Amino acid sequence: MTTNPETPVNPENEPFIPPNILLGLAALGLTVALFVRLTQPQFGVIGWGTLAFTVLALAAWAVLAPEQAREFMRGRALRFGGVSVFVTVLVLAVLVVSYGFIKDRGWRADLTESEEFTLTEDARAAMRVVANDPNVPPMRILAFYGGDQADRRDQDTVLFEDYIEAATSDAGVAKLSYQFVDPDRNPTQVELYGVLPGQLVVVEINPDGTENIENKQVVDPNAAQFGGPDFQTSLTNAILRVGASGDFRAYFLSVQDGLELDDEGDEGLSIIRDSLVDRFGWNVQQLTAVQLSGPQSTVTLNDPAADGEVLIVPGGSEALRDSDLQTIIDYVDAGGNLIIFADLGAENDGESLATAENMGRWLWDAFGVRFSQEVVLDQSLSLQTPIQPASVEFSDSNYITASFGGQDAVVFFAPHALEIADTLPTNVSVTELAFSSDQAYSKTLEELLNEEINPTDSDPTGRFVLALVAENSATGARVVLFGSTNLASNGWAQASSLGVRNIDMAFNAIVWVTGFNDFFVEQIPRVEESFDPQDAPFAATQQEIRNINVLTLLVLPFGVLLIGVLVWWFSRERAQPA
Amino acid sequence: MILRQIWAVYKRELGLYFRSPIAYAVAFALLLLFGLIFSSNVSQLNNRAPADNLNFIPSLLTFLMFLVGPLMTMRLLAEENREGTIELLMTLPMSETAFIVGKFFAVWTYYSVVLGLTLVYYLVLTTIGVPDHGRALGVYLGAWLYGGTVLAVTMIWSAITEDQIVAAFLGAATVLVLYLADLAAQFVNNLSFTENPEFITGLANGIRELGLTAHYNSTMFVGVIRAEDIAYFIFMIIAALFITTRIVETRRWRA
Repeated sequence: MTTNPETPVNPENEPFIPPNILLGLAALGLTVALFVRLTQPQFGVIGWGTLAFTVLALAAWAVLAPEQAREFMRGRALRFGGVSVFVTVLVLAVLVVSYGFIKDRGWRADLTESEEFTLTEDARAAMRVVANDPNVPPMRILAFYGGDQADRRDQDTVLFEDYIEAATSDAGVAKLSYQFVDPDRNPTQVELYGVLPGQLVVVEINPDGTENIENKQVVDPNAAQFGGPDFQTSLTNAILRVGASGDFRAYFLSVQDGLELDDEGDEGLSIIRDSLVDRFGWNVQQLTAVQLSGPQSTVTLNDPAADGEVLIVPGGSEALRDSDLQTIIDYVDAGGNLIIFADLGAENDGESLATAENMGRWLWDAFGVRFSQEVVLDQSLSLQTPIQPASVEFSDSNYITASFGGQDAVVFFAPHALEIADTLPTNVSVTELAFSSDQAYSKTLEELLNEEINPTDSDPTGRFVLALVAENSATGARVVLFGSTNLASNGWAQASSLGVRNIDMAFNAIVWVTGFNDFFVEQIPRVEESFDPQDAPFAATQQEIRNINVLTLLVLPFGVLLIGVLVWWFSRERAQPA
Repeated sequence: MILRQIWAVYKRELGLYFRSPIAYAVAFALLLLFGLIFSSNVSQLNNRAPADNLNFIPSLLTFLMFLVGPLMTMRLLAEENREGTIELLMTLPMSETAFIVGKFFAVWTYYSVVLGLTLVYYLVLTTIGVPDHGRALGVYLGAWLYGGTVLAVTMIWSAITEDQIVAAFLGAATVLVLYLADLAAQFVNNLSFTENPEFITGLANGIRELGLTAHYNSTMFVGVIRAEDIAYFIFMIIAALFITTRIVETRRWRA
């Protein structure tokens, strides 16, 4: 028989803090942490502090009284009676707090191959510009999602967090924030912003923290279902447009045989218009010369209230009347900005608005440049035909072409060469933007119309300037001349992704002459929708469908059933001898 | 030591599952239903929808878990209670925790096998289209955790009652409540009699967080993995198993 006498306690070995007090402190800390978690919007320093205190107190108790801790985990106290209920509640509380901790961290991963819930590289680049451009104001995304759109809220939270991170400057200042607004609980706000439940608004934040409702963009997440851009593209462009707030105006002159702003065909300008209006909120109009300067004029040129302004001449087969030209001259002399796309002039015996004598004289006198009467052709560097010479060399000193790389090209259609005076007028500087190859040659329009497109010994040969900019530093006027009209037309927009940068060159010219690029310090990123292979519909032949039916309706379910029958049969056989 | 105990229970229970024709009958019924829906969708959406639109079978399985889950677990403890074998098991040198966890892993394994069989539909998709593999990973991971949670929760009722039908019925009701928590949250959110709308919104969000669908349908099902969703499922399993263990232990206490 053995006895188990109690070990005498040596007072020197007793812990200086009684373990029971540590347990009480742990309980107190946990109570405070739970209280903070359930009542406060942020867990905060107090929450985390008390939680840490609880853990430390429990750890200290386990260290100072290991026998008690072991007994607690194994003993009847844990398992049975009221203490069991208490321990269960304690475990649940710990799990809830742990869940809250993990939820607050916001750890997440987008597993989709198409990165549906992650910012695209284009959008990320755009947000970097927004983040680091001092001219871009802070913005807020207001998502008007009701209680029945909680799923959408969860999904978009992932994307919004990505936006916030990308739109945070190197200095740690976030240009973007987001907020979910329940439209049922905030009908006034819904009315104020003019949105429908399920839509979003990107709005500028004033320096005093209020929302500037005048500068807002509404985004419909479901636009893609109706042929519109996908959600991310729409939202990114809305952010860019709100961020690029400012009063910018582009006036397109209505001229004979010129490109039309509302024309959505290949020869139209609707893509440029949509980019300016929809993405950046510009005021874009097409006006006749009378509307521009006559008594019934609806616009004010050189308006000091405007942040940027440009007059664009999109071709034109007839010379401007002197009075109309004088309006343009007055505008440019006062510091206005002008872009001219030269028409070929085939309809008017070789003379077009750009090559007309009055236009040429003024350009020569004011800026030392003018359009040549002759047309440039190129057999060595052209697209399909010498009539479409291409330029692969660009100025890297001007914003318009600075971003064009070695693989990029601009294709002109029967362009007029540009002539530059040996001595430029005072305060004027000229930058050549695009050139033909050294093997290019020029012909008169008459020769071209007679289909004499092959070079002859009498043709001037060499490197022709096909686009240029001229600036007058005294007046601030900026003029951009393009040898042909096709650069701005819709037909070239699709070729942009192939490295044919016609429409980018035209767009950049508008941006540069107005100083719009100063609003966005870097080049404005182009955000376009992407198409992933996963978006393509699946395609099964009739034979494949038959095979699928056999597999899923017969082989798979009845195969499992057969295995079940076999298992039952063999179990029965084994059971019988027993 | 406890791992060895868990392994012993796990092996015994898993063997029972795969020797029982009922397990195969349940799998057969499920696969036949999935097959019917899948093949009809293939015919209807051919050349009209991306392949990902057909990757809904795991989600359908999670929906059906309010019926299938209780059927899988009702026997686990209720039968032991009814036949009195649980008292016998309690005399063995084995902890209740090992006993419960072993049984749970066995039923979860059975569920995993059924879920794994649905991968056949996904493989079919890869032959006729380009499904998003990353999204599929999220869908299957979510469905696996979702299933584990349902099984753990329904085990509680199997431990409480001796009647398998009652256990199944109560289990189905509990899972249905968790499944419909999203709708309950919407209902609460639409309450307008209060002067404290923030409290109502917070309450609605809390109810939604408790539900199963908020952690699967809106995130994992579309390919987004959030740590909080994984934590929700794991913590739910831990909590349910802990409660089940406590309930089983009360038998020893009562005895």
